[in-house]
Amino acid sequence: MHKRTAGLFVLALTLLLTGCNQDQNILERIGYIRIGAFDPAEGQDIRLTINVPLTINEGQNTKRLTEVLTVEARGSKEARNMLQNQSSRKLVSGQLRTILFNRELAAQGLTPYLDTLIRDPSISKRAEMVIADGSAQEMISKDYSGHPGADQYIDQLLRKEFEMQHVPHILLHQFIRDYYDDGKDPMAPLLSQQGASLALSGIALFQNDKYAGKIERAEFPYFTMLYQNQNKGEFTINTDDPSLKSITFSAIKSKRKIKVKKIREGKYAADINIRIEGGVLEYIGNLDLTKPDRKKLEGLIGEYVTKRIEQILAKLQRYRTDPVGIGQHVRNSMTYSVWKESDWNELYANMEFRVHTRFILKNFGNRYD
Amino acid sequence: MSKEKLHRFQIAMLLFNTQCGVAIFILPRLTAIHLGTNGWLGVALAYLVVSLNIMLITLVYRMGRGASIFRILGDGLPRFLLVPLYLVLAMVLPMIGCIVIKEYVVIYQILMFPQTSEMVLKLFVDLVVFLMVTKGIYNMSKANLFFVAILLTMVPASLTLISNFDFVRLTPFIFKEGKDVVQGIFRMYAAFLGYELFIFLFPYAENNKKWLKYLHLGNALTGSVYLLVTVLCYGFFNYNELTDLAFPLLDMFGYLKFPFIERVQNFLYSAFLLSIVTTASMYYWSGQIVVAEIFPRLPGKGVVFILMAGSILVAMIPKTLPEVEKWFGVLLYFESGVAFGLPLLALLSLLIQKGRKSHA
Repeated sequence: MHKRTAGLFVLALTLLLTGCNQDQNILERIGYIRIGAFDPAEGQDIRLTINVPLTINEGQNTKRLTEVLTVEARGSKEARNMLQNQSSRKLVSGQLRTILFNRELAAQGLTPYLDTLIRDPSISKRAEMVIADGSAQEMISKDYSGHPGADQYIDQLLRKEFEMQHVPHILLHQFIRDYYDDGKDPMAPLLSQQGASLALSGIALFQNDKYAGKIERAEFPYFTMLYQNQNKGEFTINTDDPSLKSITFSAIKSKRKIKVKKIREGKYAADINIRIEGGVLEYIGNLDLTKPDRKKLEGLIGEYVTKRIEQILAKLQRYRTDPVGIGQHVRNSMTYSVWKESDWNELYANMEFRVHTRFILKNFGNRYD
Repeated sequence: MSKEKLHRFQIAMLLFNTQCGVAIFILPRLTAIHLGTNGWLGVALAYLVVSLNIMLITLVYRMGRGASIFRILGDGLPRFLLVPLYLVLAMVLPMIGCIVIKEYVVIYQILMFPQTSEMVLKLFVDLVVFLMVTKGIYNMSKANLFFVAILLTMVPASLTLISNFDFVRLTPFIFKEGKDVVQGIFRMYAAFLGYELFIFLFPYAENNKKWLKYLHLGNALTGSVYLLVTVLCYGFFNYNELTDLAFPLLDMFGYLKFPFIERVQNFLYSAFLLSIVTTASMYYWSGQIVVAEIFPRLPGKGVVFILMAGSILVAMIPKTLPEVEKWFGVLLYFESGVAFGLPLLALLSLLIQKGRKSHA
């Protein structure tokens, strides 16, 4: 019996040792690509730039360096192999955090570049999908003084924005999911350089896989309320109305409901009900926030938000892009054959939107007036 | 025969873990491709078919008064008919066990060790399976309880994905755009296979009819896990995306993030080895007792070794994932025949015995 156990042990050990042989990765010899940036190049080629942070230990000293490499090729994996030539490390994509696409490249369509992002099992679906306003290469190779290195800067900037719910939480997974959905178009954060810093300047809208336009920074709170239920956030309203010069809310909670109705053949309407709760953080205006005036103020704010959301919807219709997923609701109200026969783009452009916003002042902060 | 008997709860868990195999990783894709929109409904249909089949097996147990399937068959049918059947079973059952491991390993290779030979990876699993089978059915069922406990911890983990689930993505369309609904239902049904082996378990189970109900319990557990997984996938991704993802379940778990660990899908897939080991062990074990019926004097461990060695050699032929899946498909057709054929044959044999008695 002991002999047999020993035999099995030796067998197991041999097997274990052969397993070590091929797929080993030694940390110090590996370059983890943090950011991959895609720019258009001549012809059908793309220019791929990668940002690889390196940690070098020499005795007591630990140095942090960043390798930024650029190459032009047809596909991103071919490019990676060519980059391998220039790198001091073995390049792997397991720690890829951010994928940047240049806006012009996105306008031509992202389908060819999405393949490897879906196919490669080592790429996390939690990677950030970002559109760069300007050269993506420049964006990740620049040194931002006063900020952490580009690899961390972009990642942390986006994460913070997502967490504070300034913009919908869009990662690679959501982008690909909506890209496949026939009743919804994908979108992605739009990043641009502002002086020596980076800023989230908009949300890039897509028609299928092509960049079609953007949501401006000023429209973010309204767009986000239209897009999802919120349980966090802050926004400010400024108007010329003396009773509503400026008001800032915090601790926003919003709920959104979409109902689709058919008006006649080829014409659909959507009722969008939005209910927002928020606490006042700052108010400049001539109303008392006491009972009768509060109702009035709530009404004014509701009207204002309705107007802004209607403007956004009109803009989305003009761009023929549907990131909100109105199409999903229209699809779900139809039979299969009607949905397949109808031209959704045409229907969408002619749709009627009725936005109903109800605003509720939850509290007045520290001041009770 | 040993005095030890399998407890009904052990049987239920053994059934669950035997059914639950590598199919769960590709199930959402199969439903999407073959059944189309809301293909997860197919799981419920397949569950009903399997329930009927299990009723057939329990009927054999009741009518045969708990006798082993070999005795039931042997008493009614001539041996020259049965021996070829047993020989075919002795070849096919281990092959299925082997292909299950192979498919698991090929996916493992894609995910984690792209450069390592799949045969090396497979030998590891084979070794574990060999140790498991040679311990006998009682110890297998006890070990299996631990396996199930570990595997079922994945269910609450998958519930954290609900925040990314949206009913809107399910669409109201049923079975539209599917390639082949009949084929789809069959593939769903095949994902439940493993329960047919429990016809060999009659002499090892506790000596009352209570355990028959627990077969349905095990099957219901498999059904609910499959349903949970497919429905989640349809609302987490969408129908169009599912048709394009090779292993949707892994992609879904890949999205999970815990404070202390990211990319948990590799970890979860490795943990799934526990399910594969039980599935494969049950097939090898069934193969072993079929061989023991033809050649009662051969030593058990030797038989397992020969069966494993033989199936491993044959399993070296398919190299790519599509090839492995094709082999799997063919074997599943055969196995579904066994699942219905064997109990029916046993019933026939019982009727013949009854006929003889009433004549005598």
